Amino acid sequence: MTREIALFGFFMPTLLPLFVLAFALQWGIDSALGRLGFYVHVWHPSLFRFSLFVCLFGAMGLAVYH
Amino acid sequence: MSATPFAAQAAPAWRVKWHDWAASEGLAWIFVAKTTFAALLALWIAFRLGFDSPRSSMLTVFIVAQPQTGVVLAKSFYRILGTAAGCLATFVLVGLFAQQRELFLAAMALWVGLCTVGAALFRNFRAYAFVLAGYTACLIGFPAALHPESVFSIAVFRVSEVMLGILCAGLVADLVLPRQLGVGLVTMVRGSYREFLGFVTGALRGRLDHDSMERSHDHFVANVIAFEAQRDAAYFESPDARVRSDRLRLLNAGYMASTTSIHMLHQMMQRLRRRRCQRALDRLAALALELMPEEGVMPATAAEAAPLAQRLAAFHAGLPRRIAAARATLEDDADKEELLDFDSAADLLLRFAEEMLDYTRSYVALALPGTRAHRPAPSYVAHADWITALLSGARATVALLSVSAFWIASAWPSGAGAATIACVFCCLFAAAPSPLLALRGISIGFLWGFAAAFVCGLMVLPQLDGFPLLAAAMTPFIMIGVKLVANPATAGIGAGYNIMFGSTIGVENVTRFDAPGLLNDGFAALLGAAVATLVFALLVPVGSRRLRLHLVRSLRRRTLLACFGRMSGLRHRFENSTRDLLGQLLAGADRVGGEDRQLLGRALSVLEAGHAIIDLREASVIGTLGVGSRAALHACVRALARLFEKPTQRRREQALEGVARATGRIEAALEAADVDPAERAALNRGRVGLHLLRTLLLDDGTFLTLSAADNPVTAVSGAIHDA
Repeated sequence: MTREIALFGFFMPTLLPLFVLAFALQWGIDSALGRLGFYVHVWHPSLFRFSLFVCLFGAMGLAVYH
Repeated sequence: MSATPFAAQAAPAWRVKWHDWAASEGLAWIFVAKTTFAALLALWIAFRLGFDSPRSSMLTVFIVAQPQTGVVLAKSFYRILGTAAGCLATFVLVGLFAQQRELFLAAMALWVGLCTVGAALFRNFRAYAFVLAGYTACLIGFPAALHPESVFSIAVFRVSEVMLGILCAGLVADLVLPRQLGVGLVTMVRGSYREFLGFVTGALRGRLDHDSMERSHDHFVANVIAFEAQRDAAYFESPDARVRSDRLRLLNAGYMASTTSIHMLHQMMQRLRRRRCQRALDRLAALALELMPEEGVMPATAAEAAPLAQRLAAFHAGLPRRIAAARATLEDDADKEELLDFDSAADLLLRFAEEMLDYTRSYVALALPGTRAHRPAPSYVAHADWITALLSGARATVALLSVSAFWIASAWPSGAGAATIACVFCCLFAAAPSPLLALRGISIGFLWGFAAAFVCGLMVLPQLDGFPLLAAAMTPFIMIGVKLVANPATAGIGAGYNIMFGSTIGVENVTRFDAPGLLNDGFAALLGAAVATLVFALLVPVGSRRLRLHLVRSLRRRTLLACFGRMSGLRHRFENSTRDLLGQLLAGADRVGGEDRQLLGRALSVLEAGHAIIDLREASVIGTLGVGSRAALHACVRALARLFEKPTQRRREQALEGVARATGRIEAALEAADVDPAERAALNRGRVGLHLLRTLLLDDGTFLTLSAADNPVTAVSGAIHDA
């Protein structure tokens, strides 16, 4: 994948839209897990959520900077 | 654990003291440590990334920092939206007017005015987005207008700095020893349910006097508003709160409706008591008290309320039959008026049982995972006052224009800073009940922050080298400010201190110790605060009598919404917006002079009248009513609207006439044999509404309270009358 994309003539790093995408994805997964009552079994829910986001964003970043 | 006497004896004194300290001061110190850490983290990352002005990131952390995670996340979310909007506005403004500074500044003042109008209209966390849209436009726009060629890079840097600050503040608040809003929300829900049950029991036994009734209602209004704010913020905190958000909204709506209907029932029972219809009253009270659990076995949690919900449902189903039985024993020797009073009270009891059941059901549903709200949840309807909002916008525009004029005339290098600060305060305090008091705290904080920035930036930092030492030297200065914020009494001073310290301390990538620059920045901020103060004090002050009277009058005019509003969801909209407006008015009320009690009395009368009018309107759409009857009902609503628009003796008589005519029509319709039960119930409710309205209109005290705002002399005599 390209590391920079052009938007209306401005170059921006691909990571930026990926960040937004990862955030949206995390929000969706987070809501689904919350609905299922998954967080009852988690010691530190916010830490879990943050780690989930880091995993998602990290995986996407690796795909770009492979 | 500590509830059992054994544990209390076993715990040594130092441990009890430790727990007390940890629950109060300990939490504050955790907040101080977290915020300081987040600020320094943001500063460090900003240095590492080579941002233009790393201190903006640190400043952002100070601005969004709050003890509860949810509030930080909510503020952050709206701040991101506002920053994006402000950024776009800047591009447009710089693109259009960069060549003409007068034109540019005028356009900027208009934009800031618009943002302030938005901030004043929305009043909750959404207001924050508007504040930021104005603030960001100033923050990027002024430097960009001086160098139009680099507007894009300036914008990218500012936005990145703000986002970095938001990320750091949010992450640290959420990850390190988080203090979740959800826990407080649960306590609040349970507390208000139990308290309400206690209140209802007291009211039904007739043990509540007028004073404690008013105090309770004061408390209910505050609860409704605080609850909505917390729910709004908790939404961002965890999926748990998001899943429950609908049910929580329903709960709040049910709470409002129940408080109003118990008030109406209580009023009617007082009236019966005054007229000595003791028998009817006794029968009703006996019926009503069956609703309530025994004292001492109040349900402590939502799960424990489940049996109560079942009992309420059974009671509600059997109530019409029992009311009919009680009425049959009365019918022999009661006069018509007494029967009508009994019917009204019985209908109000039925409605109260309905609403109490609804409220309890929403409460019980909170404890069940995976359930949805039992009916669609209405959203919270805040009362937005356009005149107040437009005035706030005008204040911001005038403030920005006057600072800009001074800036152009004096060619002062820090004019942009002064304009930005003036704009921030005009936006931020647009909806505050007493902006001058808030600004005073901020200005005191500014002076202290200025001194701290001076000492830290020009005396301590020049001795040091490298980021670890910089961080170590700044830590105590930051901690002072955050500790001030943590204490509610000094929060304003702390906010001023932090903003001043964060915006004037000269920490940049290229180290320079610039005493004139620091002084200029400091004076700019002080000038900005001074101009904002002047504008708030001079341009139709918020607490001014005229503005206050306008709001008090619009409290009465809420009934016009009941008269002419769209029917679907009207009851909730009317109820909610009236309570929201009452909350706004109470926030600035003079409690020593008894203004709060007058406002409460007026609001409760307005609520009573409005609900009765809605009943009447619901009855007027019944199919069996003839054209003539319908016209009479509509004429009655119009006469009532005219009365509430401007109460005069003549209009009062006309309204009474209209009510009498409508009552006759409805009674005639009720006497017809072939009315189906649902329509009969609606007609009956309409008749009860008319009876209530007639009682309200005939009561001189109520009429005086309602008309007080139009005539200051009546206001005074009304107060005396109340006393």
